[in-house]
Amino acid sequence: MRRELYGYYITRGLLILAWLGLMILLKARWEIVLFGVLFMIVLYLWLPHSGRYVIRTDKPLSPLASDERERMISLQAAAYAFAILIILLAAVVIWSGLRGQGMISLELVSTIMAIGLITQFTVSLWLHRKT
Amino acid sequence: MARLCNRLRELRARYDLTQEQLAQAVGVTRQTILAIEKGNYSPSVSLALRIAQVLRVPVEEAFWLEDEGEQGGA
Repeated sequence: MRRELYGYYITRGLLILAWLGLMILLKARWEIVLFGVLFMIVLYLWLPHSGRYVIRTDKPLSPLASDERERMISLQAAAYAFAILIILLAAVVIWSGLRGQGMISLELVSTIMAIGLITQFTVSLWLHRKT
Repeated sequence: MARLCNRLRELRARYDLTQEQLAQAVGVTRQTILAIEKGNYSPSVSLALRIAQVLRVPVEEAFWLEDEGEQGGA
């Protein structure tokens, strides 16, 4: 473990404990809690070594910062995801209008949101490979 | 259409710098230096100037524009 990341590991550990406390209060299923805790531990351990962040020693509690290439990739991925989201929402609204339905189901909107998130993730991966 | 070329690899070798060391010196990730060296990413003016400063060369010695299809340096 790198000394300059001690603050990062401590704050992330506290975040995991806070999340764990919240889940216990909400009486969540233990499988979900366990999966969430393991996921966060792996994620927080991996992020400083992912090569996606610059480690800033002047900010010990939040030392991970994006550089200009990473910011460019994030912005482009967000733009693609936003475009997909708008196109799909417009298509659903037009389709609902044509069918004479006044309401759009929450499930459909959730699915569109999920597609937007997947688009953002996929484009980000693609741009990391391409640039 | 002109493309941005560079001789970062050669200049790094002059000072025996690794990609990681150069990245730390200019405040970016190693992946960014790798992407610039491979010509996959064009750095901002500010980053290009910082790289040139660390490598102690004028920026036009580290980076130059080349017409597509043309071979060779500046």
